[in-house]
Amino acid sequence: MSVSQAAARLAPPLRLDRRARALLASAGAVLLSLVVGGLLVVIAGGDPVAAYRALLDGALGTPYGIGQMLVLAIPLVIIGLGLALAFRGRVYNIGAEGQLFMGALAAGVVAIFLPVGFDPLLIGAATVAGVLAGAAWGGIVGVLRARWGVNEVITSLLLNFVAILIFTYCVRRPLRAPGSPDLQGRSIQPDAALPALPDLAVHIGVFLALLLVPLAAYVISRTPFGFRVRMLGFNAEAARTAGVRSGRMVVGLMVISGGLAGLAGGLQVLGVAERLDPGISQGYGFTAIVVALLGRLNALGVLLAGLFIALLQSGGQAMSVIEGVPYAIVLAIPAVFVVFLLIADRFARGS
Amino acid sequence: MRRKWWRAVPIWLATAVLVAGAAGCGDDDDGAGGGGEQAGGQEKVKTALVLPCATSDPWCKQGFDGAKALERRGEIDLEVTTSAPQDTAGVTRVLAQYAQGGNQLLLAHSTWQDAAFDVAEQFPDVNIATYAFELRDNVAILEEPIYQAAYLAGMLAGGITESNTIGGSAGQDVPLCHAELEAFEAGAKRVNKQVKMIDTYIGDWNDAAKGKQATQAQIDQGADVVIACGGGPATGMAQAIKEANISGFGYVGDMSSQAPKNLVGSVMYNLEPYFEAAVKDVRNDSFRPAKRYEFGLADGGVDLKLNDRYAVKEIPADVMRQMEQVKDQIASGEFKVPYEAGT
Amino acid sequence: MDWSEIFGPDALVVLLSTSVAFAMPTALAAVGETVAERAGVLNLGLEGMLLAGALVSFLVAYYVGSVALGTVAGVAIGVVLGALMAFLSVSLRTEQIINGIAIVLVAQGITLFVFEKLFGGEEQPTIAGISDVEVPLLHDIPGVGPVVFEQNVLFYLSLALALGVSLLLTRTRFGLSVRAVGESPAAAEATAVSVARTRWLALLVCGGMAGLGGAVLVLGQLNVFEEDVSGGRGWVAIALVIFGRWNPLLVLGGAFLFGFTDALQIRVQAVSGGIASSVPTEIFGALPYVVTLAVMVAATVLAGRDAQPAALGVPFRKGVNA
Repeated sequence: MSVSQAAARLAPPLRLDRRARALLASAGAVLLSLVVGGLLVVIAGGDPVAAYRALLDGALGTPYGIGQMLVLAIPLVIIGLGLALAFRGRVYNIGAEGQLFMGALAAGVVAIFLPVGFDPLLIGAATVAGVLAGAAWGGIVGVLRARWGVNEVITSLLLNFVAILIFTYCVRRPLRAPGSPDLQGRSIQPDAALPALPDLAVHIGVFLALLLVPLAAYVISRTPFGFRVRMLGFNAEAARTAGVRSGRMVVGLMVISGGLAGLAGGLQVLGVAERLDPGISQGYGFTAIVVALLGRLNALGVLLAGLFIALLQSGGQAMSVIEGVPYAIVLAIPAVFVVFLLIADRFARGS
Repeated sequence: MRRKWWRAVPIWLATAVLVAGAAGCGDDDDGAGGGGEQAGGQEKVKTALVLPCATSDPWCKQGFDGAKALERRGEIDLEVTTSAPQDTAGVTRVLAQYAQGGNQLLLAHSTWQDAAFDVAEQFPDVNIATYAFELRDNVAILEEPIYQAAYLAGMLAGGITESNTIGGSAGQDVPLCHAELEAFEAGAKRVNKQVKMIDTYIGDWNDAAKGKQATQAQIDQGADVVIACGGGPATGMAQAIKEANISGFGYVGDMSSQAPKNLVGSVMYNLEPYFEAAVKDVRNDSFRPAKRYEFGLADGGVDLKLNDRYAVKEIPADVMRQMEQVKDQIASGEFKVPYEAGT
Repeated sequence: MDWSEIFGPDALVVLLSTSVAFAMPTALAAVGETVAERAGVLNLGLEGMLLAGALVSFLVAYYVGSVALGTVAGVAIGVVLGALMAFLSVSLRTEQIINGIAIVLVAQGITLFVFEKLFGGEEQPTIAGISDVEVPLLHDIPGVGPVVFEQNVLFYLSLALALGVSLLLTRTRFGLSVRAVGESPAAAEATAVSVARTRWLALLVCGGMAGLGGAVLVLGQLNVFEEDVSGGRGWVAIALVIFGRWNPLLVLGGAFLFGFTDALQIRVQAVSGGIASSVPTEIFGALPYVVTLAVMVAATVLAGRDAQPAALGVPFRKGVNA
C-alpha cells in the first residue's frame, strides 16, 4: 500500500454537496477576478487595494452613490426580465437597444406635447406610449419570424441601427432643443418628469422595476402562458404537438420583451435625461442580454445580475475617478468578473 | 427541466462578498479634499477634466493641452478622465464623483448639459463648464466659434482651388459642423465667385473609414481643397488627401503630422483661455450666476495655423494678404463671420 | 442630379472598387464567423477581435516599420482571442453569448488603455501606407478587372484568403467535419470526428480572419489607429452570416452588397451637391441596413427553410448531447 493510497483511506475524498460546491466555486471566482482585476490596475500604475475600496465606496458609500447605481440598474433589470422570458421561449431578441430608443422617442413625444395639466395622467400616457412603441418595434421582428420564418437575430440586430437613426433624425431636426449646438432633443414638460426619492436621487421607476420582478416570476412559473413558453424552450416540436401555437407565441414574446425595453426607454427620458437625448443609453440593450443570461433567465436572478453589473459599472467609474485608474481598464473589469463567475458556475455544476 | 434557484448563487455570493468588503473597508476615509499647495502666491484650484475620447483624438487633445497648460503654470491641480462614458447617467456619475472628491472646477469637454445640471444641483459650490446651451446656476457655457477660423481657411481654399470645387465632410449635420462648413464656403466665395461646395454628412463621429470614403467621393467629383468636422471624418480626410495629393485643412488641432505636404493648415481651437477664465471665476467666487465663455479669433480661442511644410500648390500672395486683412478685421470686430447654424 | 456620375461606366468602376475595398474588413470577419457558426459556436466576440487585430497590427507596423509583419501580428492576436473563445466556449462550455460579449468589452478596454498609454497627449501617430498594384492581364478584363485588380496587396491577400476559407469549408475533409460538428455533434463524434478539436480549429480560423480584418482596416485603408476604429463592423458581420444563410460565398457577396449600399449613399451625397441639406442624412445612413433586411426577408420568403446549423450555440459534452 503506497503512501497516497493510505492517505486516501484515512481521508476519504472530500464529498461536498452541490450547493456547497457552488459556494466554494463562486468564492474562488470572486477571488480570481479580484486578482486579475487587481493585476490590470497594477499594470495601469495604480494601487489595487485602494482601487477596490474606491469601487465600493463609490457605488455604496453614500446615498447618492447608491442612487446612481440604481439608476443604472433600472433599465438593465426591466429589459433583462423581458429578454429572460423571450430567451426561455427560444426567441433570441437582440434588438432591445433599438426597442428602447423607439420607446424613448414615443414617450418623449407624448411628454413634450400632450397638453394635460395633471402629472399622473401625463406620466402614465407617456409611459404607455413608450411601452407600445417598443412593443410595436419588437412586434415587427416577431411577425417576420412567425409569418415567414425570417431569423429574428438578424432582423432585431439590424433594426437597432434603424431605430437609432430614426431617433437621431428626430432629435437633430424636428425635435431639436432650440439653441443646442449638437444632437439634443427638446425637454419634456416639467409635469412629465418622474419624481425622485430624496437623498438617493433615483427616480420612482425603481419601484416599477422592483414590482416587475415578482410579476415576471409569477408569469413564468404560474400562468398557462409561462407554461407554454417553458414548453417551447424545452422542446419546440413537442410543444407544437401539444397544441402550442408557436407563431403566436413568438409574436407575443417579441411584443413583451420589446414592450419592456420600450418601457425602460420611456423611463430614461422621463426620469433621467428629461429630454430626448441620445445619451439615454449606451448599449443598455446589449448589457441586458448579459444580465438575462447571467441571471439564468430567472426573474430573481435577473434582479441580482442587474444590480451586480450596475455595481461593477458605477463602482468602476468611481474607481477610475478616485484612484485615477484609466477608465479603459475599468471597462474591462466587469467582463473579467462575469466570465470567472460563469466558469465557477460551470465547475459548481460538476463536469 | 426545473431551474434551481441556487444557480444564481454565484451572483448572490459575489454581491455579498463585495458588500461585506464595502462595510469592512468603507469606514476609513482617504481624507481627500482641501486645497492644493501654494504656488505663485495663489492656491491651486482643484480641477477635473472629463474627456469623451482618448487624448489622441484631436478634439480631446485640445481639451487636454488646454488644461495641462494651466497645470504647468501652477494654476490648477489636475485630474483627468479620458474616454468617459457617453450615457447621461454615466457622465453624471463621473462628474458627481469628482465633485465629491473636493474638486472646485469640473471641465466637461463635451455636450453634457444634462449631466452638468444634475451635478450642479447636488454640488452648488462647484463651477462646471460644458457645451451647454441654456444658462443655469453654476454651469458655465463653453462656446466654440471655430467657424471664424473656417472662414479664413475657406478664403485660402478659394484661392488655391483650380477646379473651383471644394468639399467639406462632417460627422453630423448639427449647428456646430454646419456653421463650420458654411463659413468655409462663404470664405471661399469671397475670393472666388465660381466656387462650388460639396457637403457630405456621414452620420458618424468616429468612423474614419467612412470619413475617408466621403472625401474620396468629393475628390472624384472634382474637389481639390477640403475640410472636415469631427474626429473620424478629419482623420479619414487627412488620409484621403494624402493619397490623392490634394489640399485640405485640419480640424480643431494641428493635424499637419498626418498629411504634412497636403495640409494647408489647421483650424485651431485653443481651450487655454476658456479654462483660465473658469479658474478665475472659481478664485473670485463669481460663477453664480453662470457665465458664458466665448473666445474667438480676437481672444486666441480659435485661430488658423498654417503648415509650413505644405507643398501641393502655391497660395496666391494676394489671397494670403486678403486673408490676413480679414483676420485683423474679425479680431477688431470690424467684420463678423456669419454664423449659419442650418435648420 | 446626374445619375450618370454614379452609374456611368467610369463612375461605376470607381464606386464598385471603393465598395469592395471598404467592405473587406467586414467580409473577412463574416467569412471567419461563418466557419465558427457552421461548427456550432456563435462567436459574438468578432468586434473585439477586429479591434485587437487593428491595434496590434498598427503597433507592429509603427514600431517595426513593416506592414507585412504588422499583418501577421494582427492575424496572430486574432488567433489568440479565438483560442480564448474556444477555451471558454468549447473546453469549459460556458455561455457562448456572454463569452463573446466579454471578449468585446475586454478588447475595447485594453486596446484603448494600451493606445492611450503609448500615445496619450501626443500627436496622432501614423504609418506610411501601401500603394495600389495593378495586376497585369487580369486588370484588363472588362468590368471586373479594374474593380478587383487595381487594389493594394492586402486586398488581394484578403480576397484569396476569404475564397480559400470558403473552399476549406465546402470542399475539404476539415470542412466536412466542421459542418458535421455543427449539425449533429453526437453523430460526428460517433464517426471519430473530435467535436472539441474541430470547434477549436474553427474558432482559431475565425479569430485569425477577424484579426486580419482589423489589420486590413488599419494598414490597408486608414494608416492610423483610433478608439473604436472597428466601428461596429463585427456586429454587421454577424448579421451578414445569417444573411448569407451560412454559405461562405453568399456571406462574402452579402458583405460586398452592404459595402456597396454604404459607398452608394456617400457618393449620392457628393454628386447631388445640395440635396444633403434637404433630405435627412439618416435616410442615407439607414440604406445599408434596410437593403440588407429587405434582401434577407425576400430570400427567406422565397427559399423557405432556415439554414441555421442545428447545433449552433449548443455546447457539446461527450455522451450527454445525444
